[in-house]
Amino acid sequence: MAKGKHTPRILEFFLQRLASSQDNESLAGDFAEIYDRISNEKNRARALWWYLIHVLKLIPSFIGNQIYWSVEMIRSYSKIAFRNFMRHKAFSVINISGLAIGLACAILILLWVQHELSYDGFHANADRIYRIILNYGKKDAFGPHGPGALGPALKAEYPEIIDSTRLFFVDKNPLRYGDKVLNSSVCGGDPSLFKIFTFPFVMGDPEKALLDTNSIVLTETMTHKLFGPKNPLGETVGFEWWGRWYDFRVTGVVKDIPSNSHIKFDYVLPINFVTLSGMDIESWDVTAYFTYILLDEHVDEEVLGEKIAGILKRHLPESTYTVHLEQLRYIHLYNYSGGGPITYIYLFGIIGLFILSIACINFMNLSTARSADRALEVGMRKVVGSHRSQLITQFLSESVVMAYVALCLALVLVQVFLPSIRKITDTRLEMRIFGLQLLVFLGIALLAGLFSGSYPALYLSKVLPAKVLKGAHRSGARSLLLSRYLVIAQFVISILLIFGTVIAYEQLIYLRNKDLGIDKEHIVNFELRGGVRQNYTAIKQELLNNPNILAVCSTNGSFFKRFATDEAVWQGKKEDERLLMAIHSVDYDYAKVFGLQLVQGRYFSREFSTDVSEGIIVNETAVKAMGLEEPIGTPFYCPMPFNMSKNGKIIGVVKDFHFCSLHREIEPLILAIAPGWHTDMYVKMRGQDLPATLAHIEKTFRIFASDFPFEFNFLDEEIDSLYKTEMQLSSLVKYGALIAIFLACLGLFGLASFTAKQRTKEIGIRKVLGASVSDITVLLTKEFTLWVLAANIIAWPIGYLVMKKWLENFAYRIDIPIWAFVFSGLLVLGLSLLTIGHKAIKAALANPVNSLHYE
Amino acid sequence: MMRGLTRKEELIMLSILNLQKDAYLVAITDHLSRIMGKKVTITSVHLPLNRLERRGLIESKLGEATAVRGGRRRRIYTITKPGFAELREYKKIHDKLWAKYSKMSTQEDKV
Repeated sequence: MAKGKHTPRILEFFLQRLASSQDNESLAGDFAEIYDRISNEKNRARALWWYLIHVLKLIPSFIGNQIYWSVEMIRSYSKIAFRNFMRHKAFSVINISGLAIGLACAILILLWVQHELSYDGFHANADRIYRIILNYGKKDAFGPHGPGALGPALKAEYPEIIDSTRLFFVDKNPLRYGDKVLNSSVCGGDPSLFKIFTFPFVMGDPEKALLDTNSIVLTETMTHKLFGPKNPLGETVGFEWWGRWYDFRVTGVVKDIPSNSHIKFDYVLPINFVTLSGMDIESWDVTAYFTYILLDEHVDEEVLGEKIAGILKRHLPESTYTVHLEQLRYIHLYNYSGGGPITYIYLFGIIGLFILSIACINFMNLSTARSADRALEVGMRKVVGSHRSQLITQFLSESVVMAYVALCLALVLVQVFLPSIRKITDTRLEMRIFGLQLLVFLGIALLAGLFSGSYPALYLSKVLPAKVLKGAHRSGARSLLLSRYLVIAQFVISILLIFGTVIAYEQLIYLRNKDLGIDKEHIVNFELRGGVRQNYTAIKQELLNNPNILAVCSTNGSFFKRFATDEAVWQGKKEDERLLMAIHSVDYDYAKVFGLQLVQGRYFSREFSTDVSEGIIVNETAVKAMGLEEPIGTPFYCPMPFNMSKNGKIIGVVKDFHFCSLHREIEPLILAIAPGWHTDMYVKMRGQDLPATLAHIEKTFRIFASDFPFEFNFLDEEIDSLYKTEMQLSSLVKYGALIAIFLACLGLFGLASFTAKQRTKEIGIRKVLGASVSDITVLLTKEFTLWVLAANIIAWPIGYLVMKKWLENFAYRIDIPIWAFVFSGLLVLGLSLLTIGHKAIKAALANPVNSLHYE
Repeated sequence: MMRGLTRKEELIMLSILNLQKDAYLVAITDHLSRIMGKKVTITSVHLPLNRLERRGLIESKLGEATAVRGGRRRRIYTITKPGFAELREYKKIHDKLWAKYSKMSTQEDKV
């Protein structure tokens, strides 16, 4: 009998863990009773064995119990959460949508940042591919154009370099199949192109695709456009080059180029195609080609960089250029002078984080503002025996669930806005619903939920039930102080963004309206392609027969394409003087088309046969830069790039006009006639009856150049497109400003309702003592107004400095107007007054009896 | 709302009814073993008891301590009103189902 008294301690401990709290005493008793019985009837070992087995058998019931109670609690929590949501519908909707918008912004920015950082990373050898860049003698004067002989020489002379390819790009070159002609971008490359870069082939063999000099590789979209569903392999397509058509045979089809590739093309030809127009791809002195190399594994970039730096000088002794390496993945991200898109990426990343944290903080503030209501609930729960940990779980899970609801909304928003973001940023951003991205979003939402729920969870759960239930609960003043700074910070951001938008728009308007020194209206631009080049004179004559067409001219490259040289020689030039001058080849009617004015001398004229190749016209800046007192008649010779005669003379000086974007100062300019180099034609029309005039032009083209895809640009639109980046940026900033001001007002709203609630009694007492409604409204709004003013004072100098820096991108820019400060300040102040005014007036109108009758 | 009882639950409840004031876990287990003539384990009774209590068909109270149990109190189970109603319902169904056959079987016994 006595031996049965000792139940096994350890097993009993486990038993008590497993039994539910209400029956752990009785169950232990029951077990002890049977244990005794068995050890009496049989032996202690059997009894022990029995005990062990039955403790293990309790595990299923233990798990069942746990699940039952947690389901029960979750049901209660969600019921309360749902009721709370329904009771404050407007409030909850605003709260969740605020978080959703913040999350959507953060997600969009994340997608974009990810896209930008992934640039060129899809090539299997991305880490070992480098682009060769040249330093043109001056510090920071880097450029990617190099001589054609460079690539093959690098590969031959350095064993570390496994392969090299030259690339040459032409935008909008016609390609013909049957009667279909498409203007699309061509890339010329060596056969090793597809060995170095990873452009997956749908059809054809990447190893052999470019071996033949008349082979062509198309992208899938291009194939589809030209051939439809037909198998393109082996088909012959026509390629236009300097007015002639050449046949190429399709040897491969690659997948479309991803938008995160800096190399973009619609089709690829062997680089030799440029020799069709007489360009040299094997010499050391024509710098026109990009060179890419593939390094062996484990090659030190710096060591190799030092070895190859002097290669140009070795082959071309008079060269002053040095050769450097540029990592493939940095090409998109960094400029040669430092900075580059990477700055924008970081900037947007930080803005995204900021918007997300603002949204979370607002979410937290609004939840806190309601904590007074919830405090009573917390008190009740505590009185009936809730643990603090249970309360923390309740509030945290509630806000996490809200965050997930917001996330769902945010994902919908992202899907809705993705197409327009794609358009603005000119990328193929994609959201993959399944996969790593979703995990990241879920993680962000979880963090947001935990972060926003932490204050009510940790603070409210600490509340003493007796105090709350007596009605003495007040939320901490400390939290209020924190939110005050946060609201100010939000307004600083809003004001900055609004200010930025205003300045950017002003500058863009200024750029659009600035007098460029030319008449840019009603001018259209065509490229000299196929039959247009061959029949140029006839087309020009036919066009001029129409009275609505005033003038026609041709040039080398479009109006804004900048060719520059530093090899000009003129009488009176100092020996070592090198002047970088822009150079354009034009014709007799150039001045007429663009409305140029001559300051001295005369314009090119057909009456002087020597004007071709000997006549030179410069602009005023050039005269100043060369230091000429009597420019007319000064001998002037410029060997590159137009092979002009050595007997050149300056025959006229043209008034300065903007032939570059307004980012740059007007440079010294040379105008000459070298028709062999012309690629573009410009047509000046009369303002009336434009559609009919355009129809006439199209008809003329159809007659003389049926192979010509009739595509044209208006000069003023071309001018606008010079500022595309700025326009994109300013519209992004505009949306950012809208969102920021929305979120800031949301935060303010939360805070205003919070204070209004806290000061209910104070307002009641003031009213009883005779304060008027307007007194109270002023009392409630005064503080917020001061915050917004403080935000203005912080934001103004920052905004001034940032925008001044941005405006420095332009050689021609506006002065930051005073009204922009006042405008952004007043706008934000007005919006915030609207936000809190409603709350304040409602609080001021409340009957003091209601707020005081408990006392 | 009637969710029904499993056979085991029904047996346990009937045992509680039989044992009256002594209906605690070990006693119920023993009782069932005896009546059914086979071993019933304590855990297989414990789980249904919890479930029945949650459904409000039985209720429990702590009884007095005894030395045998290391000074721990027993939890005494009793049938609640809804529990009793449920049992009655089952009995009614059983009786109806047996009504005809029990006559026959008594006749058989006689023969």
